[in-house]
Amino acid sequence: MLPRAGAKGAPPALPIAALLAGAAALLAGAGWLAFAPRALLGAVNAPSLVGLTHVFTLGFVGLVFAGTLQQLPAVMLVTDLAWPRLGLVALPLLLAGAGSVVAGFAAGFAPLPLALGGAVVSLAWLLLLAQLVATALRRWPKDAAGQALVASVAFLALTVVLGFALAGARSAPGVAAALGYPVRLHLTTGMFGAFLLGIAGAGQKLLGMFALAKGTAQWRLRLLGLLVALALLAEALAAFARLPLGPRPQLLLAAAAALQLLEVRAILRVRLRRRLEPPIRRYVLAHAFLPAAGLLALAGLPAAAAAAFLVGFVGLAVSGMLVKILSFLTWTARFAGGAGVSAGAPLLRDLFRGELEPVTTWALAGGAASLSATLALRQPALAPLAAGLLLLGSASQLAQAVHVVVAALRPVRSAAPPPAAALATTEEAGG
Amino acid sequence: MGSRFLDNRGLEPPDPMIRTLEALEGMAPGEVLVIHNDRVPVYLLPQLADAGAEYQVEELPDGSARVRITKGA
Repeated sequence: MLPRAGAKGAPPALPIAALLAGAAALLAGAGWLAFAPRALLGAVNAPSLVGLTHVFTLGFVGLVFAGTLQQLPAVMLVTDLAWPRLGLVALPLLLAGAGSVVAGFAAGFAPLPLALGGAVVSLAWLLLLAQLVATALRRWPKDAAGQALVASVAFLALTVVLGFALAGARSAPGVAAALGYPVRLHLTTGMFGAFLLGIAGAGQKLLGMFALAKGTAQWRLRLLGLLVALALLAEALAAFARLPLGPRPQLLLAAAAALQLLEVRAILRVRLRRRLEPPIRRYVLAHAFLPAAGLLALAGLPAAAAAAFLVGFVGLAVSGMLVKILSFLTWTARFAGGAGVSAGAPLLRDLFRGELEPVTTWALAGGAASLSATLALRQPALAPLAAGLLLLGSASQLAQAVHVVVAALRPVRSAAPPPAAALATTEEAGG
Repeated sequence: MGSRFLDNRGLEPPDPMIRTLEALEGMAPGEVLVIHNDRVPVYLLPQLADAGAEYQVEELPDGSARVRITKGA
């Protein structure tokens, strides 16, 4: 019975569980923030704010990325996933390690859980990177999107390893003397190398598929990847060789972000599907936060800029694709038998609760905007608003994700006999 | 009722999906489209069901897949 989604890839339960866990992590982080919104008004390197940031990056974004990597590479790279059961090890490691890291921050930079969690998360991401590279080696991607996907996961693994090194530098003077505290490199590699490049690469394919857009140019994504790589190289030279590079890395990163805006615009201009579905509209809306983050950075408000970039751009983009990918995954795993769609199967759109989509989109967008405003203006009144909106948006997102899975798992009417017609063609129309 | 054939092998996503859906749009209900892709088009199948089309997938020994799609009413 082909093509069940997991027939030659990871068992479908793996990516589905990771995507649900990612959505749950966002709700947990928003709940934490709602419980202690004044964390937004303290120092940006205070334990609670760093912990909250890692719930978002390692928990929400990391788990969604990791779950997606159990399914998307086979589609994007047009080959079978290598070691399809590796996720059974890597994903629990990722979950446990991320929990330990967050607990370490929450406990005031406690060295043991930070070091332990950092090691476990690093191992998990190195395993996932090895799996992706082994998959890509079966059919090395010639297109910019496939190459960007591989590069972004390499940068994500590097980000996590740098974070582990930072944890080590906090507790071991020898590590600190050798490496210093490459916090800025850790942040830049994660935000631009992993997240921007990952969203740009996967997004070119996914947005193209969901909006039915063809013929987009490859050069923008290639140039975007090159600019990000150059910027990160410059950041590494500044961190480890103490080279005074001034604002050059930031200019390269700003140019890369501008290219992503142009890329999305170009895809939308050639789309055949004029009315985008709500999760895809959320993905597109996410890009409004890129120029906002740039303006906040120019205004000398780096924390607000980082919030707009992470929660606004990355959060909305990942949220949109999470719901969309989850619906395809569960539907295909449950209903798409080789003999055709199972009798009584719901339509893809029937898996959604339509009323939740605008709530998710606008609560997360409003939450990201008010979060940035809180960090920029240091207004105590804004912090609960940001926390409340993010809580609402993440609860709505999780409810939608759970509903998609539950709706797909509901029993269906008894299956009809499969069509018996043999494959036969009488007219050739394509080549 | 005749059938049409699309060889989507060698194309990068999303082109196989778009070619297939475009071809289906120009066909009459009951007409058959057979596509040959490098792999089973997992992102296409739910959209075929949404469009009311019936399909039958045959995986070939080289890993490619043929899908016989009958356009719905």
